[in-house]
Amino acid sequence: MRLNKLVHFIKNGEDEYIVINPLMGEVNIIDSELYETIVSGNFDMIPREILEILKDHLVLIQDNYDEFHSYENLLKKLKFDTSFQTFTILLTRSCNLECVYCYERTNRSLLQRKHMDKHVADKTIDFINERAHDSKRVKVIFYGGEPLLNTTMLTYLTDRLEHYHDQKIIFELITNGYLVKDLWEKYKNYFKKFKQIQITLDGPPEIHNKLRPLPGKLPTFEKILEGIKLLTDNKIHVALRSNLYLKYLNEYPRLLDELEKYEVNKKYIHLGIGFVHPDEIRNYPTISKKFLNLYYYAKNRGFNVLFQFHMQRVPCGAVTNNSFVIDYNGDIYKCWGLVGFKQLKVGSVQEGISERAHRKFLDLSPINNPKCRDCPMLGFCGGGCLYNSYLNSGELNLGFCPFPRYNFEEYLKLFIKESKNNPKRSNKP
Amino acid sequence: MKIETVYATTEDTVSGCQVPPNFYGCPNLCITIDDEEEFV
Repeated sequence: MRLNKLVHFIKNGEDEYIVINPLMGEVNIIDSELYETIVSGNFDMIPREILEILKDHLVLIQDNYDEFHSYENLLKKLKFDTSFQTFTILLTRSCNLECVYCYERTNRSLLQRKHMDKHVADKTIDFINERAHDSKRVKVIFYGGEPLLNTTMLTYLTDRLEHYHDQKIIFELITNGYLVKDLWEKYKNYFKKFKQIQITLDGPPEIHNKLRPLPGKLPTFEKILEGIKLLTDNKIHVALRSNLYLKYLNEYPRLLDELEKYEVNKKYIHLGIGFVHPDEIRNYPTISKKFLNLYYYAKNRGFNVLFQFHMQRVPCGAVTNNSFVIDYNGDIYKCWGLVGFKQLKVGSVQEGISERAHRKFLDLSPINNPKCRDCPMLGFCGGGCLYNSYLNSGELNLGFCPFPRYNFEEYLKLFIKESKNNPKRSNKP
Repeated sequence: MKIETVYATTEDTVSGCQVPPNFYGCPNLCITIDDEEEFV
């Protein structure tokens, strides 16, 4: 018998250790005495009842057990599970805003004023229905460009897909929010179908307006906030994303002031804090700490804040067989950021999936990268963001560490605390 | 000696919330709504 090489121990105060076990998807707490006994290899000293638990939970394994092979098999199972499928649809490449950091501006081919038409929409419906007819749940996320610039196909696709999939379908919308107020009266029944609507405000008015203006640098903050108010007053959940720069971080609380000034119902607001600018990557060690401060601050003010750190052994849908991103013209990609990179397209709704191209994504595994395989955060990031990796190295690979890696122990401890507070997120045996 | 399980997943969140811990570059956010029944 020996210790599972995928298991990591993190000291937790004077007398405890956190045991991270990605193979089982578990986090345990053990006392120092048990820790010392395990790492010394004196398994005979462990009480029988506890020894059985350690064996059952694969902390201790037989000498000939191949934990890396088992982990690969687990990843394959998760990757090829199609019981829940996600389809992201770019209704248009067109946008009414000119955000200074927009990744679509870095790939000029994306800046085409093209909408999805009915022919492509029909093929998209066929593609989704064919792939998802046996799934228990189907999620469709409308995105763009600005998806509310193509309400004709938004409503058409929503109606048709809802008719086919009935109760098992979930709709979400990602919009800059500028048109919500204008379109509310005509489309409110559609807005109410969305389980969540993601809208971005990048800080208080003067910062947001600098980063996310209309053409001609005209402001957008107030109209977007009025749209958010309308949605939340109608009990529609809004994921309020903020793309922050380290230099503007101290201004973020003033956005919360604005939300309170407008009396936005906090129950329906879910704050999501991100750092999108490529230059921010070099600031990850600082960002890692600052994010936690901001998280606690916003929580203390009574806001829901997204904590993007949980047990997630597959990094994202890009490496699975259950997630596809469909461009306005029907081209299919695996990652939202890679749309328009023709060399990474994996098929089209007209011609289907190219298995060869798809394999490049499905075959990605953190176990093949020693840096990931031996990392205590393996079970939480699954190898990180392949888009980040691609931008930085030109290689389609895993191994680009997300910012919580720089303050891993703090994130882990907060994760445990949050799991204890929210039993829905933790299914204790 | 003692051991306590503080978190055990029965299913990964990958299908529902396909977001890495840092969503730089990824526009996808996934919120957790406790009272889901209102919206399904």
